[in-house]
Amino acid sequence: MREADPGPRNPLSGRRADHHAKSVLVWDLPLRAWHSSLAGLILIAWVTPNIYDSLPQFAGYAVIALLAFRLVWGFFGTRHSHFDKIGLKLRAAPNYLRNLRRGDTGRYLGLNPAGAALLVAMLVLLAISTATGAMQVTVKFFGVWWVEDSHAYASHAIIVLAGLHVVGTLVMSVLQRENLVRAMVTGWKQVPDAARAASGARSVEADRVPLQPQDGAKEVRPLRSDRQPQGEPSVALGLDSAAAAKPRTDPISIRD
Amino acid sequence: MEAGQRRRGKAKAAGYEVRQSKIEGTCYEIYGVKDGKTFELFYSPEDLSLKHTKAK
Repeated sequence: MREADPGPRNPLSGRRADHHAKSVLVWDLPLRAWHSSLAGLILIAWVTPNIYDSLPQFAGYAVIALLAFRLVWGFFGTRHSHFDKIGLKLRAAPNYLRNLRRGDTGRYLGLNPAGAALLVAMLVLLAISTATGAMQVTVKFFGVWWVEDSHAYASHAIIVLAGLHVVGTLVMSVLQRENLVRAMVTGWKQVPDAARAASGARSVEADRVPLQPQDGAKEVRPLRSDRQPQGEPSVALGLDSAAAAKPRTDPISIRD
Repeated sequence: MEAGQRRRGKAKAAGYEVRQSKIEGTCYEIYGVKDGKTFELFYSPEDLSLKHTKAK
């Protein structure tokens, strides 16, 4: 996909990366379009209620359409849009968050476990908020307290989550020295050195580059570089055989 | 909640099915349904007179 594209510049060195070796298209175009339209619609629905009744209503219906698209794309989209590893990532999330306090961010091409948890929570809340919002404009559920309250709580929680998402993205960008906001705009992300050296080795150590403030990813040993031919650098999290690489955090196998 | 009971009573007497009653800004607000249509009724907090009705 889009092989002719020049790789993005390294945000620190300004060097244009050779994307065949160093960066990879992670977020496909439909996913990026979905992400920005959703952000816009949430913003509209957030600031307009009690001023104009029809705008948040329109935004809500549009979000329902976007939710439907996301579910489809979770099965038919490209690799990092897929839902198939979401369950594993969710199980890894508590451990991931614990390690995050030590500054161990891991290094993921797609969503990290915290991001996956946020995605799921966001989708559920959006479903609740839009469903109760649509119910409110029916005669049957108009003014019914639990419909109104669910709508309000879910909608406020969405804003809180969106704020968390923004903060998390910015913090992660600093910790991992990669402009993740830009990655969601262009779709391209840097492949961590270790993972590149390992040519897509599906190992925890290759994926989860422990980023020490001073020496970045240098300390990471490439593992099992014989695993895969050149191709899409598949940065994985989790391990295929427990003996090959002992993960520092999640004891489960996830391939992102 | 005597005031609440009274404004509910007023809306009921006017033929509305009362779904919810709350304080909205400086008004009492009733969510009501009448003849399959939804309304917001606003009552004055002083004398409980109907200030305006908004079809939803």
